[in-house]
Order: sequence, then C-alpha cells, then structure tokens
Amino acid sequence: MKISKSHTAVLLLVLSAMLTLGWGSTEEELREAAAGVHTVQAGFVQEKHMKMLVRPLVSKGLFCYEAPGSLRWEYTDPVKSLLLMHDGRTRRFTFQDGKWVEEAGFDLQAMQVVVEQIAGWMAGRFDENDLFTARLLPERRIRLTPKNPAFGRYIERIDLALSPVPGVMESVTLHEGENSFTRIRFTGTAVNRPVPDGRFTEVR
Amino acid sequence: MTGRRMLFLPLLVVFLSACAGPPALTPASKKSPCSLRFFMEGDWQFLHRLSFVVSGRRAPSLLGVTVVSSHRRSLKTALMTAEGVVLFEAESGDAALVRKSLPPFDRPGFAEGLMADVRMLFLPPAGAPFAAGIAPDGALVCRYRGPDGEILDTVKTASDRRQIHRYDADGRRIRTAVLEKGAPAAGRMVLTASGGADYRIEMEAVEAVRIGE
Repeated sequence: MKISKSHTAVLLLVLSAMLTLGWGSTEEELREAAAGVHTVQAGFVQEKHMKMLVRPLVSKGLFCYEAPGSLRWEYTDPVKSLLLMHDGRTRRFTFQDGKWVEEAGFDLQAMQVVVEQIAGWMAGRFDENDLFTARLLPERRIRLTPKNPAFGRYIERIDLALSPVPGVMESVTLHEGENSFTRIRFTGTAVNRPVPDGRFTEVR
Repeated sequence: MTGRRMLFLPLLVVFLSACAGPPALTPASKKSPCSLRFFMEGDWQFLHRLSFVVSGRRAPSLLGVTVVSSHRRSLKTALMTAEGVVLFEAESGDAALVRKSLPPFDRPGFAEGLMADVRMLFLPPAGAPFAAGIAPDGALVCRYRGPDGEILDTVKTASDRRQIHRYDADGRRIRTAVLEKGAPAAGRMVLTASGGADYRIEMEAVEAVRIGE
C-alpha cells in the first residue's frame, strides 16, 4: 500500500505554503519581501474540521525553515510525527513505542520534486508554481487553486492569510470539499533568528 | 516484554487454531460469557493512530477517526494523513456509503471490507447471542450470528485477554481482533485478516470523546 505521488505533493505544497513569507499587494512586493528572510521558526495549531466530526481534531506542533530548502515540520501533540527536508533529501518519522521510527514506503522521490518548488515559494514566485494557480486577494490573502484537476481530488483550494508583519504567515486553510477543511494557525513566529545545529538532520 | 509483543504472542496461538472453525462450547458454570463488556455504549468519537501491514509490508501510519453510536448502530469513519489530508471517508448503512476514496483506498471492495472490520471492532453484533460457553482452550466465548452465514465470537481468553473472532459461512476464521484493556478508548487493537486476505491493522488509541457530554 503506497501513498500516492499526488498526496505527497499536496503535503509538501502545504508545508511549503507555511513558508510563504512576506507581504505585499503585488507579486513583485511579495518577492522583494521574501528575499530578506533566511529563517522562520514558529509553533502551530492545526484544526481538522469535517462534517462527520462532533469536535474538530486539534494537533499542535513546531516548524522551522532555513533558506534555501531546509525544513523541519513536527507534530508534538497528540500524535508525534516529524518531517525533515535537508540537502535535497526528505525523511519522515513517527514516534512509536517510545522511539522515533523512520517510515518506509513514503513516496520520497515525489516529495523531493515538490521540495524543489519551495525555493520558488520562498521567493514569492506564486505565479511560477507548477501545481497551483495563485490569485492575490484583498487583505493580504492568497488563493491557490490546482492546475491539474486530479489534484483537486485532494485539495480544492488553499487560502493563505499573511500577517501585516513581513515574513509572518497567520494561517493556511486547506479546503478539501464541502465536508472538510484544515486550518493551521501559526504562533510565536520568529523570522531570521538563528536555527540551532542539527534541526534539519537530527531526530530529537 | 513490550506491549506489541504481548499482543502478537496470543495472535500466534490464535493462528494455530484458525482453520478448525468455531470451537465447540461447553456450558459455563459461573456467569455467562455474554455478560462481559466488549463494546462501549453510547455515542463516541475516537481517534486512533493506525498502521496497515499488507502482505508483510508496513504502510506509512495514518490517523483514523471513527464516530459511532451504539444506540443507532451507526458508524462513520475516515482515514487521513498526520497532516490532515483525508484519503478515505465512509459511513455504514445497509451498504458502505463512500464519501471519499483516494488511492490506494479506492480499490474495489476496500470500502466494504474496511467498514466491516471497523464495525466488528466498534459495534456489538446485531441481535442476541445464540450460544455461549467455554472453548476447549478455556476461553469464555459469546457467539452471535452475522450477515451471510457468518459467526462472530467475543472471546475472553484463559489468560484474560479480549479477542473477537469472525468466521465465514464455511467456518473459516477470516478476522481475528486482539484488544488491549480499555480498547477502543485506550490501548491498542490489532485486527488480522486471514482466510484469503493478508493484512493487519494496528490501532493505537489517541483520543476518545463521549458525544453529548
């Protein structure tokens, strides 16, 4: 049983969306603002809403980014899991029986393809994304819609809400259809703060 | 000994006797095996971390959410990635009503099979038991009739472990579930398919919310 290429692409697109930095009312302004951002670190709270759920599922975690393409995306509660991207390699871990276990079978090749797009996102080049079409909306919002209809089976659209503060993302909302959406809100975002050694390579 | 090993050892024992059909039962001298509590009553929302092991290969772990009502005998379930992308969503009625199924969960028969497995784990069998007693290995068994000639046994082993066994109309055991204490609200459940199917679902409780409280 294998998670599909499309799924992993969506996953990484979402992660890269978290890293979409800067603000502005035009694509050019976004690009200019992103150019000065070298690291981003934040916490996040993820709420999963579905029509079938009585209560949304809430997850918490941490993320850390360093230009040009290193990422640590970590869920700390209630289920621990970790995604590390560094040096063109992507690895995924889950915490089982008191230790981190690297998961095999994930479509790493597809993930790496999408990781290559992160540089584009970091540079604010939404219009050059292979997977989604970006539209700038009022009040520092960006709407991403899939170019490939097959992708739309996973994600109908993504709404990004940028903070007034350069380099800070307020939230990302993934709409999967009328029955389901996921909202990720960021907290305590620090831009250009030094990243401790090993954050993108060590599982701890 | 880890919790996982403790689960698999009784599974091994179970496999050795899996081909013989439902065991003959002798009457229990004390209280009826059917008075044992196997399933949670009321309305619940459960979250589990789960792994599929198919033909010996472990797939990336997922989250499984199940909304169940024992009174209405209704069941809704979804499989999603840790990041919240829903890959499969269905609810149980006369037939499985599939709301979303993305690869690899869109294969023919997957939805029906998964919903039957989930139903076996979360909902008590419909109807009253037709037999109860002690199996030759000392287990306390409560026996129900399932659809299409199936038989379902809830089992408390001699070593005080809870299991659920499902047999097809030919008497082959087709599913074996081993439940740790507190499952499905706590602990682990392992469901193993046999008799033509070859997969295992390992579920670890993450969250249990009583609906209406």
